[in-house]
Amino acid sequence: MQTSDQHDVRILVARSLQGDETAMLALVERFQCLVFGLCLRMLHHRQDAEDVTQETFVRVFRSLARWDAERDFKPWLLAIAGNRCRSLLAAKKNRAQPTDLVDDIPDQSPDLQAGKNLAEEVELALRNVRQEYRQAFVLFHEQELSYGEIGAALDVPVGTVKTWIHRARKELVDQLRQRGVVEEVR
Amino acid sequence: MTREANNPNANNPDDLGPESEFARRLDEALDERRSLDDPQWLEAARDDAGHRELLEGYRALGEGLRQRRARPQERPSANLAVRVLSQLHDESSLEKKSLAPPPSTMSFARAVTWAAFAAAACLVIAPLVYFQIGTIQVVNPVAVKQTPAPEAPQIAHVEKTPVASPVPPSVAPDAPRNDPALRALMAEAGGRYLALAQETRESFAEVAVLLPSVPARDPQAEAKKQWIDQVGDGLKPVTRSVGGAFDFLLQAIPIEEPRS
Repeated sequence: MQTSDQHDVRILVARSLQGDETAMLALVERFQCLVFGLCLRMLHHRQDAEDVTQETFVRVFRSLARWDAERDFKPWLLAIAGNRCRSLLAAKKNRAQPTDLVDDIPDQSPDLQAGKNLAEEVELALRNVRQEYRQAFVLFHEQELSYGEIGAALDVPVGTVKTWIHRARKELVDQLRQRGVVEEVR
Repeated sequence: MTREANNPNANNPDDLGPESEFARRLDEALDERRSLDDPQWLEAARDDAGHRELLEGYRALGEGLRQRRARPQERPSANLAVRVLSQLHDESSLEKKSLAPPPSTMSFARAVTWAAFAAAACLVIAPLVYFQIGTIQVVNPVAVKQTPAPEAPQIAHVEKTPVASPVPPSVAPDAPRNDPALRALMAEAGGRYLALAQETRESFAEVAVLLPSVPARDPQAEAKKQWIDQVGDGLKPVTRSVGGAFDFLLQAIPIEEPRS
C-alpha cells in the first residue's frame, strides 16, 4: 500500500527526472536531515558528514533514472549514503589521518534540566559500545529508521541489524546499572 | 567488551544470556517503539528482583533516549540543496566540454584521416585502372599504333613475330573451286585479308621502329623479347577474326552445284 508520503516522493522524483529544479530542491530538503544524521553517526565528523551528504544527493540525481519506483525511496537513498560513508572511512583508514570526532564537539543544545544527566549518561555509555552496534542503535532510536532501512544503509541483513540493536541495548543497560543510574531514577 | 561484542558474525538475537526471556519481551516492545511505562510491565516484574532491575534499566535507557531525541536535530548547512544543484550544473557543463575537444585538434585529426583514406583509395583504384587500360591497349591495335606506351620496353630489332605472317586462311575442302565467280570472290576476299594482315604487320613494325634501340647485350633483352611476343599474341585475335569473317563469307555465299 502506497502512503501519501511515498506518493509525494514519487512525484518529486518524476519531476526531478524532467529537470524540474524546484522538485530537486524539495527532494534534497525533504531528506537532507535524514541523510546528514546518518552520515554524522557513521563518520563522527560534521564537515565530512556535510560533504558526504552533498555527494550522496549528487549521486542520487545522477542515478535517479535507475531507481525502481515500485520500491521505497528512503532505503535506496540511505544505501547510497551508507556506501559513501564507508568509502570515506576506508579512504581515511588508508590515509590514517586524525579526525575531529563529533563526540568531542561541545553540546550546544539547550539545557533540558530534568533529563540532562540521563541523556549524558546514555551518551557516555554509547561511547563504550562497539561502533556497529552504536550506529544501528542510534539510527533506530534517534533517527527512527526501520530495521530494513538500517540494513540498507549499513549493507547488512535485517537479522544482523536486529542483533546489533539488541546487544547495544543490553550493554547500555548494563553500563547504566553499573554506574548506579538506575537507582538514581528509581 | 562483552563476549557477543567479540563475535561480530553472531546474529542470533535470542542468544542473550539467562535474562533472555524477559529481556526479549522488553526488546520486542522497544522494537515496536512501545512505551515501557505500561503498568503491565511492573506487574510482570513484581515478583522478580532481577526483572525489576532490568525493567528499570530499560526504562532509564528509554528516558535517556527520549531526552536525546528532544534535542534539536542536527541539520546540515542551509544551502546544501543549492550546493547540490550547483555541483550537478558544474559537472554537466564539464562533461559537455570534455565531449567537445579543441577545434584545431579535431580539424587536424580529420585532415589526417581524410588524407589516409584518399591514399588508401588511390592505392586500390590505381592498379585496377592501370590493368584495365593496359588490356584495352593490347587488344586494340589502333591504340597501340596511335599511342605507344612510354613505359614499354625498348626494342632493338624485330625479326619474327607470330603476328606478322599473312597466311591465307584455308578454304573448305569440299568447296567447289572451279566456279569462276567463286574464284574471283575468293581472290577478292583473300586480297583484302592479305592487305589487312600486311597493314597490321606494318603498324607493328612501325611501333617497333619508332622505339629507340637498346644494346643487344642488354640483360633485359630476353624479357623485352617476351614482351614483343606477348604483344603479338595480343594481336592474334585481330587476324583470327579476319580469317573467321572470310570463312563465314565463303559459307554464306550461295553456290550452284556443278552440272553433271
